[in-house]
Amino acid sequence: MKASLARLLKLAGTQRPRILAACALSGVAALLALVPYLLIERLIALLIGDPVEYEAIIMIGAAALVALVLKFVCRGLVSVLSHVAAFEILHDLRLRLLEALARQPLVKVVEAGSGRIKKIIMDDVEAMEIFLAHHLEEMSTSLLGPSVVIAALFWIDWRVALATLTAVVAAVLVHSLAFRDHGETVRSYHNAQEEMNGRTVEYVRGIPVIKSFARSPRQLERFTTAIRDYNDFVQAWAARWYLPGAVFSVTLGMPLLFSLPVAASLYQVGDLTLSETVLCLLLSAGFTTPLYRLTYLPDLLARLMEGEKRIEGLLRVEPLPVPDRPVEPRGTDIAFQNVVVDYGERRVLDNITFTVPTRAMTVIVGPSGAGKSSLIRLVPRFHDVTAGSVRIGGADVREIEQGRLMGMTAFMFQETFLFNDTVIGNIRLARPDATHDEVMEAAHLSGCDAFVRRLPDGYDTLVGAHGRALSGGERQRISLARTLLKDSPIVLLDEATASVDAESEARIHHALRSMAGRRTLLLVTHKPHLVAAADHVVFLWDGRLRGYGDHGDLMRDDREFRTLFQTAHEVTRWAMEGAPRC
Amino acid sequence: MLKGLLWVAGRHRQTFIIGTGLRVAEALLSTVPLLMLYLFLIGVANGEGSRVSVWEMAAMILGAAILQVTLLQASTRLCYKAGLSGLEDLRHALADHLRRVPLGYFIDRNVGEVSEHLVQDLNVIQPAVTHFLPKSIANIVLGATLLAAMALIDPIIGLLCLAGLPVALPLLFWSQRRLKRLAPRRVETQAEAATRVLEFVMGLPVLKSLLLTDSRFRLVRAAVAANRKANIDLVASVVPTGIGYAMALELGFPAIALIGALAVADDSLALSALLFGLVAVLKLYLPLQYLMAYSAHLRLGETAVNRVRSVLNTPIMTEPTEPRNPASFEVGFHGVTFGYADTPVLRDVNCVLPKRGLTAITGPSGAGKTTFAHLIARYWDVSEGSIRIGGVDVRDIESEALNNLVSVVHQQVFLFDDTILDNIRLGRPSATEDEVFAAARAARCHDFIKKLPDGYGTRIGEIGACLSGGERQRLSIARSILKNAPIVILDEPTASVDPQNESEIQKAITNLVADNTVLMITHRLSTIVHAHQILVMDQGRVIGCGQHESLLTNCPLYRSLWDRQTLDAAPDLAKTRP
Repeated sequence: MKASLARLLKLAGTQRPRILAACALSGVAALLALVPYLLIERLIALLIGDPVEYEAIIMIGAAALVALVLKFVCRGLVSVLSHVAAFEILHDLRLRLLEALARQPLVKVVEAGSGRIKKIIMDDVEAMEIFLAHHLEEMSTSLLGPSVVIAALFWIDWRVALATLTAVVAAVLVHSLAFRDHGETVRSYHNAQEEMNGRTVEYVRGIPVIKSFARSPRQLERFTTAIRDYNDFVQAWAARWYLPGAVFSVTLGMPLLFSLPVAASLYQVGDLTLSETVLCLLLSAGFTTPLYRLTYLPDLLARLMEGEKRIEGLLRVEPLPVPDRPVEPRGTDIAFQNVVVDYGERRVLDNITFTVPTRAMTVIVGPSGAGKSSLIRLVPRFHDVTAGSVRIGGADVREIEQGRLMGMTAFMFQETFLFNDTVIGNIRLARPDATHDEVMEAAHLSGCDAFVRRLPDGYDTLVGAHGRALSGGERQRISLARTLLKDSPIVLLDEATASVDAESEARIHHALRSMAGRRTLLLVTHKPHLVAAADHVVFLWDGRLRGYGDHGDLMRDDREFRTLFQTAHEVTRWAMEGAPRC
Repeated sequence: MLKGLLWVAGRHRQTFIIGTGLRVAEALLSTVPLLMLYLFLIGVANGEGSRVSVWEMAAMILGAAILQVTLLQASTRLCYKAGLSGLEDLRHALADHLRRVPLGYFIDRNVGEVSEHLVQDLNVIQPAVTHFLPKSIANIVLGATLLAAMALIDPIIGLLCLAGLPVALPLLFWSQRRLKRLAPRRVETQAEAATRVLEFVMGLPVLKSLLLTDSRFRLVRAAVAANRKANIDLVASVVPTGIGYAMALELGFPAIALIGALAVADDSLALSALLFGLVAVLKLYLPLQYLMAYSAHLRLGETAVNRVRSVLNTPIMTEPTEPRNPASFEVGFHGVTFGYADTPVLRDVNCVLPKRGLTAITGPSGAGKTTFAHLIARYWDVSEGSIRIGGVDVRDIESEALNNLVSVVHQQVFLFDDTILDNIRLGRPSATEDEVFAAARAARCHDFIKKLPDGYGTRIGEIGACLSGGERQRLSIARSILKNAPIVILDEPTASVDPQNESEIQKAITNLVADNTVLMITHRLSTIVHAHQILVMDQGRVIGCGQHESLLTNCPLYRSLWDRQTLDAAPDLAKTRP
């Protein structure tokens, strides 16, 4: 628990002074909360004395008021300080995370998944707020308050102090006995809950399937069983705590059980004055309340640490190395030289060497899992090679300045992305200074015209968050228009027309073909027409380079290529049987 | 505000109320030590010595403690039992209800969101009902009792307890108003920041490529900073009034100390009454603090309950009072008009899908093709006109019977975390293993299933990510083959799979559609040249209907689609260099 606290405080960074001040002030507030007890003691001493001093009474009333106001001023300051600190920390942490992400190899970001990353940056970071703004100062109050009370009790009479402590010791004993494997069982509870959540999500998501298939759905039965099992588990789990929980909570609230008899006896034998006795009892009665708050802390910290681990994990990813002395590429050909790429233990690409000539169209083909995407992603450095090198115009991509590398390549990989802007705004992003005609030409070449005309505001239609208002094929065409507008000498496309309809596909293929004379074009594709139209074909097989040449060569020399290509051809020629009968 | 939470207990309501009652009794018993303190004080303050002996006091406190433990554990037991059982019932009710709402409900709302909200809400409700609700009620009763006891001992003390109320209430009101005004801003900026962050992360590859990382980062930074500002503004605005409210509540103590002490000095109040008042008023603040802390949980729980109830109130599919069964399986659209909310999707569609024939739909994206298909399976009900199977309106067919008639192969395949065998068998739960194997063979799944670690017994959860889109699609076709429904709908089942997989899927489809009424949505026209009938859709209307040859002459849209596709299909032509 100490280690967790230290790590959470590390996240506090520059806000540590504010947090420490909040903790100190909440301690002061805890001390001020004891003032009423002292005043009661003074009051009793005054009232049983003769003659009654009115001025003193008024002074006590005034003191009570001042202490009250001061206590709440402290509490207000604590609240403001700790909240401001918490929100500053959240803000800084989020920016740190985003900056770190921007420097990481893109493949890491793609692999982690944007939804998951967003959850870390928004939710896991947000969860820190409640700890930083509330629990931290609560902890210091909870620890400081009782310590001061106990010290005061010892100062008045050690026997009453010991009697009061007995209650706490007894409660702690019960707690540690009953809750000795608490961490373990809380984890099993959370696991059961997560399992139930998973079942619920699976059931709801599967409803379309359930509805269209099962008459008396076994899935419903499975879910029903899951509900029952979960309920049984939670009932049994909760049943373990009913008794020890009750004993703990009652014992902790019971210091008077021990201190009242002791103090009363001491009063009767004359070791304590009446006012002292009353003070002892009041302090003892209010002693344990803050301690309750400490009991849920371990559980809470454990859950917070899960989030902290994810945050740290994101911050710890090695950034993509930046070249010390950037090299300027001379030319726009791309040379893969003995390229090896490992993902963890797995070798994805093994010793691949070939050159993508400038001003020509080269396609990479191969069955799923052959390593096509991993290969093309090396060029804009989504990730780096494990061994070997990728060179543009003779310069290793790792030694080209990042901005320069991005400037000379335009790429569009499987995940398309649109900003919540108009169609035209999304295309124009690629080159803000492009003329209207240039933008329109790019849109036309990538087959946007056909569907944009049908949109309510044409090119000025908003595409919604992440282009939600459009279909996958439509998003792909806008992304492609953007890639084409960028006008970089190197264009890299990975399955850029996978979900585009046939009519646009044909237009896009023409556009690409006609572009090949002016730029270096490297594509990953399954489309047979595109492969046939390419100048060079790279045939990958299980992470190795199996063949390189033009379409005709490979068709002649490689049986696997022939099979792959023929399947692709047959697929497009396939016609459902429906022999005319009318 | 507590009614909704109590509703969760459902038929265990009584158990819950008894449990809460016990909890109240326990809270009241917790004042026994205080009472003993009072008895002690009365005696000594009057100078006559304690009225109860030390041992009597200890015995009373101990007795109360033992009783408290008994009550508390019984109360927790009952409240947890009632709350958890109520939630169990609620989950069952939800499972059953969701099965009956029209499928369109999930498509409109996005299944993922529905399930995520449901899970979150149920998680919030649980502690609110089992823990915070009984505790809050106990604290309310305890506070009221303490107040009453003080008023009973001395009315003036009772009144002084509430001395701060005239100041506190306006402050509370004021702080609530500020909260209400500023809280939406906080929620908005939070949502805005989340959107910006997601956009930045998703768009990172594009941003880097377009050298826009820095300029877009400024937008995210601004959004995150705006969220910080909204949060800090909220705190700065709410803290003073909130603190003022809490302070005003505690004004009772100085008031009693001053006025009570003066009264004692005047002999108009017993010293013991004053002491009791001072101690009790300090004790009174505790339940008030708890209540403030719990109210947030209760409010969240209540909102969650309302959302869950609104799900339970979603209208379910109406079942026909006099169900009919179609005798043949041609599908007729008669003047069908349909729209989601205000957007019309289909307008006055009339056509017939012949029985045992292949009908294809094609047309640009957004033409309404998928909606057309979904209406046959009654994912929604039509706004105007009717859809008839064998002459029977689909609304006159029992939903189970309709499900048996229609089989849909979607673009996206959902598999349950269950074995491969069970996932296929979903098509017909009564099927024997051999029948499942036969279906898998016909759907071209058998070979890849055999290669899995446990064959048909492999659980999807363990290998889900390893199955390719094409393999998943073939499993779903096997399901449909097993189901053997007379009407089959195929919604671009080969979109976004690679050629080998596509070829396998095509073979699987050939086995699925034999002898059935088939509706196929596709973009690739070469697939459907032999169809008995091709419907060309554009902007929610059927603008062409007929066979391939006649459409080529009669339907300009079809002609242009076909020309473009065949143009590309000729590689020689495509290779013309500029």
